[in-house]
Amino acid sequence: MSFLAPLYAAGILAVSLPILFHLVRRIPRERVAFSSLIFLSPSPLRVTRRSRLENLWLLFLRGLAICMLALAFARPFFRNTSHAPVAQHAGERVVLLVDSSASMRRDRLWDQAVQQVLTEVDQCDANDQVALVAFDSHIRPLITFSEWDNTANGSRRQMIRSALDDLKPSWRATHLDAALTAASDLLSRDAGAESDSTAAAKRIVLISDLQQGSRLTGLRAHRWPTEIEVSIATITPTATTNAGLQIVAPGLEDRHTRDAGTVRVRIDNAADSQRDRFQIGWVETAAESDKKPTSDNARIDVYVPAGQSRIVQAPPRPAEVEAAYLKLTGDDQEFDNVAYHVAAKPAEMKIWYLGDDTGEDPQKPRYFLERALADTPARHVEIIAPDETEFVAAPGDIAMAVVTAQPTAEQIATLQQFLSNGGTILYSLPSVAASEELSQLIGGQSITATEADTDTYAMLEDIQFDHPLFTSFSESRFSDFTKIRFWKHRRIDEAALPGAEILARFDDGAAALVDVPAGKGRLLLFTSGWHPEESQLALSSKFAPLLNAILERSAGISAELPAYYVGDAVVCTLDEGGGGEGEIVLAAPDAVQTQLAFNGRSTDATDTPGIYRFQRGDRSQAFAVNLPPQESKTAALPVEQLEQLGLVLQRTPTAAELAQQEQQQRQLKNRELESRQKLWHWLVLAALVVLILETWWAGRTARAAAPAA
Amino acid sequence: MTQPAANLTPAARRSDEILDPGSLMRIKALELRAKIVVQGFMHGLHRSPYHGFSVEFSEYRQYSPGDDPRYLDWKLYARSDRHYIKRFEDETNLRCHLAVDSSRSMSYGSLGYTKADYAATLAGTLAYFLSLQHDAVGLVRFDERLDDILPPHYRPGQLRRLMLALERPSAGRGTDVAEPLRQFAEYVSRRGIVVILSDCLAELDGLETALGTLRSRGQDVILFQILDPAETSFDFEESLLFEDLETGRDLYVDPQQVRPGYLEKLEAHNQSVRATCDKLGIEYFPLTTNQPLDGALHDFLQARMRRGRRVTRRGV
Repeated sequence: MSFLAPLYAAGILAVSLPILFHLVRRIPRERVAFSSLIFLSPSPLRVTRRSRLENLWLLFLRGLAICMLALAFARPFFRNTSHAPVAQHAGERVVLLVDSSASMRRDRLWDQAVQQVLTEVDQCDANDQVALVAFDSHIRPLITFSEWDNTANGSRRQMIRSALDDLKPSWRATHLDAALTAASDLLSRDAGAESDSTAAAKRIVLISDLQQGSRLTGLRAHRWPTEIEVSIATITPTATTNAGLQIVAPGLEDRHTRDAGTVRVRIDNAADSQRDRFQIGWVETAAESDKKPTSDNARIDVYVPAGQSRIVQAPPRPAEVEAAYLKLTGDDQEFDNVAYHVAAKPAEMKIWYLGDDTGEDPQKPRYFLERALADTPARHVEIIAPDETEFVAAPGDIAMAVVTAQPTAEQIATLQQFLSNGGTILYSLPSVAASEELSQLIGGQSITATEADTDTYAMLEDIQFDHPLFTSFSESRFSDFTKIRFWKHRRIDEAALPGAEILARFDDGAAALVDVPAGKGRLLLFTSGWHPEESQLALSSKFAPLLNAILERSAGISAELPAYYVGDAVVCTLDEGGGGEGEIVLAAPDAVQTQLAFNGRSTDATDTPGIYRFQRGDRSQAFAVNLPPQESKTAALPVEQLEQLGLVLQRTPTAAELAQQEQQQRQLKNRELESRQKLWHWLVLAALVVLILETWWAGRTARAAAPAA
Repeated sequence: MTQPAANLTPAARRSDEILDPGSLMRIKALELRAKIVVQGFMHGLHRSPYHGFSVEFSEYRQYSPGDDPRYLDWKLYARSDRHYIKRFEDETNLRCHLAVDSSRSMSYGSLGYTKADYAATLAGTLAYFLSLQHDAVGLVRFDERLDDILPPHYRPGQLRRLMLALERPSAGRGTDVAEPLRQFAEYVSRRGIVVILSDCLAELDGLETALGTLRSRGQDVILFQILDPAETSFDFEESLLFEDLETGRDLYVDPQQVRPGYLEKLEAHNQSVRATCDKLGIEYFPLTTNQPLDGALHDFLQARMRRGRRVTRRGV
């Protein structure tokens, strides 16, 4: 027999102790005064015995009742039936989440990860359910719960082993948040599908190097289910010094000002690096076989303290080659030491100018147009004559058409074709009479224009600064257009331009700049001219930015130059302009032309870093795909950070905790047994019976004593 | 509670003839108690062979006509053929100090009255008796030191003051016989009698010196050691916690166990007191509080007689 609360059994002592004291020892309490104690010597306390106990049976019955009560409070139970009803250990549902990102390419990390997965599988019980999921920026379920269940227990390990053999670390980034969320969804979903397994413990085993570059932002918005525990098996490399290389994409404003050959690189040194001195140098892809820098002089030393990053100017790039890569040496890990670079070619932009001037006369519009749209490192602008209509017919060759004179009917037809192909026309209304051609060009109803009656001049007002053409002027220090005076302008019927957007007006209310959509393209109608005869616009500081904004918008130049990383979707621009024939082929960096998955305009099949090339006929578009820079941050992520994001981390219990858990389990089992047996009920009942017996006995004794008295 | 017959004085043997001390102590007035004792004693003196004698013989003088022939010393006349008249002390001015112990140990009593009550009654009896003989009686009370001092006089009101001083309760402390007696010896100057009433339950160091000093200053000393019968027999039965009246100390004592040792120590103590007294020529009378008081008075007078004889012998 065992007791749930054995301390209550000490209540039995409450019975025995007074009896014992009463029997054994009596300390004298009487005290008498005496004249002097000088002739007396102290006597030792003598144990005296009470002569005898009376009513032994009564004493026994009362003691028995108290003992039974004490035992009932101690909650006794029999342990021998303990093995029968204990719930059997429910199987655990485990998702093995294996990191296969680029950072796992470090020295032997992948082997360790595979070994760790097998260890975890070995530790699983037969009734556990295991799923194997690999992740980088993508999530790839390798073994599902159903596959695990359908496989015999003996061959499960081999199944995992073969799945891992097919898997190698990719070059992608670590999206840890997405992986954890998907794994928890997998556990929750499967648990919901099988009602009998809801009680099973759910656990995610994360096998990863837990590098700091892992993406965790998605976890902030995700409420982590409390029943799913995450145990982390961190894989640690032996050598920790790692520096990553990343080419800094030039900003929008740099494109027109800097030398195109200047490349800036960011070098990240991991927080746990042991060294801080590295070298970078160019390697031409043409000389890829030896993979050596072009010359030793081209290499530069870079000092980056651990945990910091520096942006340095790369050594001068080999000018002739289009594709090259920068290589960093001096750290332990090779996987992120290469940054590929494709030299940007200046964009060829042709502007079809329809005007009656040649650009020689400083009083005419073309003179100012040529100067405002000058060549930069990023573009080459060519203004072509009105008669070169063959270029206009080919979409993509002409960036923009500018009309400053009345176009002929043939030119109108070409312009209409240009518009329908998505081209942009800047139509400076040269005179009231030109409104008819404008009507023809747009193809809508007839547009009437009248010469505005201005005695002195007109100014711009009501400018839409949130329109892309005017965003560069939206700041208050640039938004002053009051110094630009317009001597002449035309007033047009705005009602005849449905869908048009008035970007600016003159101060007499007439529309100044109107954005008219036409077909795929658009027509920017300017109701005045920029040359001095018409206005001061060409002489103002606003003219060049405004024209460049129109040109860039019409040529489709994006605000940022693309910097592609592994896994990014790459947009092919070969079809723009209509050049080339046939299918577009994506050439992989290994120089072997491979028909890659390509949906026509963009592809995400860039799964290794390197120089890729779209090819279509004789035209090609090269682009560099690099390793995601976050992968270079290889210092270990503090596990506490995951806890802060709400993850329920499973800790490896210490020996004391294990003992405590075991104790708690035993206690729980005892409590369950006791509550089922409920022996204390019987003990209390027995105590009541004994008390009734005692009362009866006491009454009998008293009645027997009374006649005797 | 019986006393061994060997310890009984002759006066104690006649206790049944005199008033029982238990009855006597129930009389509240000390003076009345003294009178009853003395009168009872006087009543018995009618048949006493000591009638006509005063307290103490003093000297002889030449007979002259007109002197009482009763006081002629016939034995001296037979030896010297001359007539001499004996002069007695009562004709001188006898000074008697009653030294009463008022320590806390004296407040013990097992008979319904304490040793202090008994001592006060005895002192009152002696004072009354002496004042009847026109002697000067004084009182000294002491515990660890001298407390009340009433110088001896024979004058109206002296007896009354003495009785009042005896009746006054004393917040006594522990007993030290030697030290107050030494102080008293320094105090008295004239020759006289000192009657000490004490239980002598204290260390005896210095007692001999103090008593010797008293003696050397011409004092005749009579010591009444007053003990309670319970102290002399120690006939307690049950184990008790004994509390010392003087120090308040508790002691757990099993009487059955310690009685032989106690009696032995008490006897040795008393023997020591007696030996000291014998050595110094001091009359020593042990009394228990169940003994009649007139016996003590008788013992006192007997002691005076013996002293008178000794003087007479020395004077021959």
